Amino acid sequence: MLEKIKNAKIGSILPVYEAIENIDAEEFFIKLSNYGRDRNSVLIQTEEKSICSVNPCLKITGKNEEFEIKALSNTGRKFLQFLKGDFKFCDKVEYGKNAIKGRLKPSRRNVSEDQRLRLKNHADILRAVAFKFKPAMAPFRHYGGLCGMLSYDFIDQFEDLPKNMQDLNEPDYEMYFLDSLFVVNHKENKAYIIANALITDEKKEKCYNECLKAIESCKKAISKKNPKIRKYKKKPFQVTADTPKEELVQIANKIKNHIFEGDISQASISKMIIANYNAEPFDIFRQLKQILKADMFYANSETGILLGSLNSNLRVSGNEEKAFEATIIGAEKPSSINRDLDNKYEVELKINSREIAKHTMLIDLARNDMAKVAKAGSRHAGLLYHTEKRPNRQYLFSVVKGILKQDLDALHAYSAIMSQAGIPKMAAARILRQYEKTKRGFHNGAVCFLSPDGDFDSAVAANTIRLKGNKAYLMGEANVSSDSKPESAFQETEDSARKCVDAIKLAGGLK
Amino acid sequence: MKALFIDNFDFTYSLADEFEKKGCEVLVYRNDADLRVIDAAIKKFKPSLIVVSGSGSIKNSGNSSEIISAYHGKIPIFGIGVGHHCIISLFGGKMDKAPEAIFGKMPKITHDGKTIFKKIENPFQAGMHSLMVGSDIPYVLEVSARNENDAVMAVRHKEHFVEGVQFNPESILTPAGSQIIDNLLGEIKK
Repeated sequence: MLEKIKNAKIGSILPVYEAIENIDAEEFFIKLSNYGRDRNSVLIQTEEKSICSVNPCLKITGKNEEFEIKALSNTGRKFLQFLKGDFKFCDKVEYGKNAIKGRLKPSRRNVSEDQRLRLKNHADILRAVAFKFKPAMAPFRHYGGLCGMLSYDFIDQFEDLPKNMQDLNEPDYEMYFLDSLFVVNHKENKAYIIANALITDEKKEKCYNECLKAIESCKKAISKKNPKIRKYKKKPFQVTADTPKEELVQIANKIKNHIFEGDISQASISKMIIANYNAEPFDIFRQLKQILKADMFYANSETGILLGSLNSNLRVSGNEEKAFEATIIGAEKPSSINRDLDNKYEVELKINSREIAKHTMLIDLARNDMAKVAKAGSRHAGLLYHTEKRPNRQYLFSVVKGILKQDLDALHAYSAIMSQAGIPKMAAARILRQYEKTKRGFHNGAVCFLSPDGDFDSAVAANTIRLKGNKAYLMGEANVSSDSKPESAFQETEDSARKCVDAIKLAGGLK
Repeated sequence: MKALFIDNFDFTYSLADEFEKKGCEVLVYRNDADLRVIDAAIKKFKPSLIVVSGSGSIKNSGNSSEIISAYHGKIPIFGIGVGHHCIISLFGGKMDKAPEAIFGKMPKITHDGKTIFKKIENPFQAGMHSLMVGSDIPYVLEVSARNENDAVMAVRHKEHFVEGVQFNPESILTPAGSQIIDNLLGEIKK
């Protein structure tokens, strides 16, 4: 490995890694992150993999027109130096020793849609960091790179929509550059501790030794005792919402009017639920994971702790062919009860005409979105109306595939496909912004991983719990379509948030 | 052949892809692009066809109707979904709520076998993503297709090359969609 690093060009990234005996990713994360209490710690757990980092080298955040790239370690400071001069496309930029701060007003011009895809916005800031180092080798997926959250409101980078009245003061994106991390591949039963060598100068051997040191330090944590769990005195549970029942029903009625006027076909309205919590945030994560039995994420940053479930959404391959695929998740039914009953639910999923019509519309939307960024004729459905069985549920899903146009990358694909709150996407987003009081923030945004070689995975953040101060912020959702009853929208929002509320209660500390 | 698309948001790119697969060069502008920009683009790009597509209501269709109004009779026009609604409305027809929710569904469509419907199975299955349908079709337009509930599914201008379809030819629910576009391109080449 040392030889490879010595031969690598300045500006290369090379993952130094060590395979370790298969470990419990959650336990390891607890040890490394002081029970999830340490800032800048990230854990992503899917059926396929667990990815964790507790000491990323950079943090990239942006809100409206402002952005900041902050160094979190010595490697981060070297990274910043290496980025100097790369943000000339921004309206304003200040290069500091510990941070690059700047402003970029997303460009809006009267141009064709193909040209619009290439207009400058904050995705270009992420690009500048993600692709600064060229991979000299990529032994496996997720060896390092940008990882974090793009909020639902990241859409403002591309579209002019009305503003919500309230804002939790969340960033529009919060991404880390993971130079050191550990990855557990559950399917292959393999685990790796990785430290990436970022070659910024000729001191390559020193860079290699620092990687070895980082790996050793991480390995030591395996034998560490688990951090002590704090005790919490019981408090009464308190909960409020930003939209009272009567108002929510009124909103559902207004949305239904928009449907009858032909403006939209359907929309998913949300309200913010504000509760107290009195437990270890990581215990809330564990409870929610236990309840949902889904892919999950946990992130602790200066702006608060965010946790929730993940619905896989977009996967892009950074190789020459640039294949990409989007997964469309449909209706869900129970599973793992007994095989015969599972079969009955599966058939219901596949023949329920209302759900099939809705799913088909989403397939057509995904086909359309992908065609925007795909090579002509490459977009096609890989799987249609399949069911995926998970430990406690099964759901309908379809996959649409394509080949990205040669001059586009994963962030262009994301901008075309990003999550939606209704159909048509833009009309629904515009209408919902008029009625929803609080910005959705990271709820319904994306948790994503973008490697220097262009590999990209993103998943829609659902069942999110945002912990800020002593408050937990959740989202309740209700789907409004032509045949839904507005008066039941309130109950639907309550029901959709119930699992998150249960997780907060079960984590303890509440009466 | 060159086709200029006016995108009313959603379902335009699948359609553009279908045209590109057939060797067409396509250029897409949104329905909110400045009309002067569209005029300049048409002058420079010299399209053989203007396609106005997308979903939603006419009131949110931006400059779609103005473009159809300005260029019909000069450049062939093909309207899909809200583009079809704009054609009906522009020439004096009305829009009504569909008697039943038809989005995401695949009604059987009966057609007149002319122009874009040549050699198309009759009736044929098509997908559509709209809750509105045209009514009171004006004399200058002829109804070229209807569904089993007699709702208007396609119209054709009697004098100019203007075709409108309620259904989505690019939908995964419309196997005949590709042939319909072949027919459209064939008619333009005549």
